[in-house]
Amino acid sequence: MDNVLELRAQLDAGTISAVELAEQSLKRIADTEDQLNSFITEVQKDVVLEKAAHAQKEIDNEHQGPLTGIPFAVKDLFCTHGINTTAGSKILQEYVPPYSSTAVTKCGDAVLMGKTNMDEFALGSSTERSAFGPTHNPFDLERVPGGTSGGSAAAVASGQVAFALGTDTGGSVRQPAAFCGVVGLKPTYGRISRYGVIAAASSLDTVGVLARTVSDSALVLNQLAGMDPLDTTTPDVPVEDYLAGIDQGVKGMRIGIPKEFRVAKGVDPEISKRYEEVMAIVQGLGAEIVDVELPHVEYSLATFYILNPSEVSSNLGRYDGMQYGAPATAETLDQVFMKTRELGFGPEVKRRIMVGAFCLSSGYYDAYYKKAQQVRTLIRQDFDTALQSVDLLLAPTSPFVPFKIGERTDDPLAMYAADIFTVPISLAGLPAISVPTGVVQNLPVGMQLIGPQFGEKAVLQASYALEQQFIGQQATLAV
Amino acid sequence: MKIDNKDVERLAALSKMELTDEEQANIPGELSSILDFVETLNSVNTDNVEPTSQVTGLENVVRSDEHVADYTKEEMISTMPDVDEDGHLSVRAVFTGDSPSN
Repeated sequence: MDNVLELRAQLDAGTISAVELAEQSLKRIADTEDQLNSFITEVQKDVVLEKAAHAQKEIDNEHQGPLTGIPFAVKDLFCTHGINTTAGSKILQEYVPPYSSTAVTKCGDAVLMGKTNMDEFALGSSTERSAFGPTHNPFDLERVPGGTSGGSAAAVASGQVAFALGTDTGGSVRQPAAFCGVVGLKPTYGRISRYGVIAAASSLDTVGVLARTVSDSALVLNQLAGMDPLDTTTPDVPVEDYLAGIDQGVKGMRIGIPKEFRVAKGVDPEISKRYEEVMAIVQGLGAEIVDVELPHVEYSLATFYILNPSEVSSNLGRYDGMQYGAPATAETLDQVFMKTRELGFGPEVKRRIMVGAFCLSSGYYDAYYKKAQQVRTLIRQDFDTALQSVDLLLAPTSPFVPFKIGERTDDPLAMYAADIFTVPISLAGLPAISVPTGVVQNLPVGMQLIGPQFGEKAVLQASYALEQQFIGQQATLAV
Repeated sequence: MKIDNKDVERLAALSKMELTDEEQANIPGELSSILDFVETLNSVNTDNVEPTSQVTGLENVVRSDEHVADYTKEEMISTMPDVDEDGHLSVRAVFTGDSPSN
């Protein structure tokens, strides 16, 4: 499937109809889904075709928006009116929302193909922790697509859809984008409304975009960004035209290289090598490479793995069998709660809830939760200081290439280590994009460009320039 | 921090969550190693550092107290496992012999 901007031009010129495009997408999904498992729920064919026919009517009447008629997918964490929304969990298996999330509504007459697979309640780094089985990396079916928005990344990379929505709490859009060779945009905290998106860790959760090109992600951001009266975490900051001037290059930009990222432990030497190469490329394009320091960044993972479980344990308190899904059979009310949650949650969800309950419990709150909130302040201040002397920061997205399915599931800490370069940015609430930067042994590699809060425009502009340097260096699809 | 079976029992009760036998066997070790890892924060001096709970500086966002809904009552009710004849969510009796308040 072509990228969104190309498809827009074809739809507007009438060289393809929205219905033909939807049929293309349906066929690609039918041909590849058995191998990939990108979707938890596929939208029924007749519903897809009806939506596509409506989109075509809008195009015929010249009433189309930028996304009208474009086939897309959304992570199964976004509520979709009348379509099952599971959060990748057994506990919500039967949940059919009575309304749609703002982000999905803002996609307008784009044609929804399905709800993508994810780690249960967006907790994980590989999409292996879904109650509906793992998603497979489209470039090597024995490997993970990354997570937690792994279904969305695999669907875009394999051409099942043209773009997809995901969520990013500690790297869940950027890392799967890197693992699947697509562009992953995580905007500033609050830039896109989370109304109707099932909450994981509320001080960190963001809505993001997975697309085949940087321009496509800018186009989608144009549609989604902005204040929403239904989400009080969306500030009244003006929305820019993110696509305009995206090709202005990086000449004269100052791009910071955090010293700590250069010497981080547990990084695949091939990734470190690519990081150095990308620095040279960016410099060759006229940017100035500047060394910066983030003295507290090494504490990011520990901070995150206190704050995330704490907020998760609180947010997931609502799943007790009373209001959604079916309550388990037991004698007393308390036993119904206990049994419903035992049967409904997977092991990683239970671990996080219990770690969170511990960090928030009487006697431990100050030493764990409050301490982590304080270290978060220091990490934010490090980024603020660094971004006063440079325009953007450059970092790898993942410390390693996509790993084998099952390779990291036995040791929770080995899985958490996958988030080393993405979590710090989430703690500071900054915008970042993972850009495809070639391959290592037919596996995609991505690098992140990171900006100050609400600095999406500069991040997109630099990402576009970097993207152009790696065009044609894609891995070969296995499906 | 070493987490033993008794701690796990307490945390499971706080979380209103039973554990399978396998989870009961694995969780003490897993929680202990996760807590050992996050305790590296103890080496950071945080004297007089304000905690961060919100990153973009918003405070006390309010809206007018008006009913706004883009869903129907019928659809909302359809998501509930058990509803009485007036369309109210039915739950088990709360104040019984086993309730914590007794």
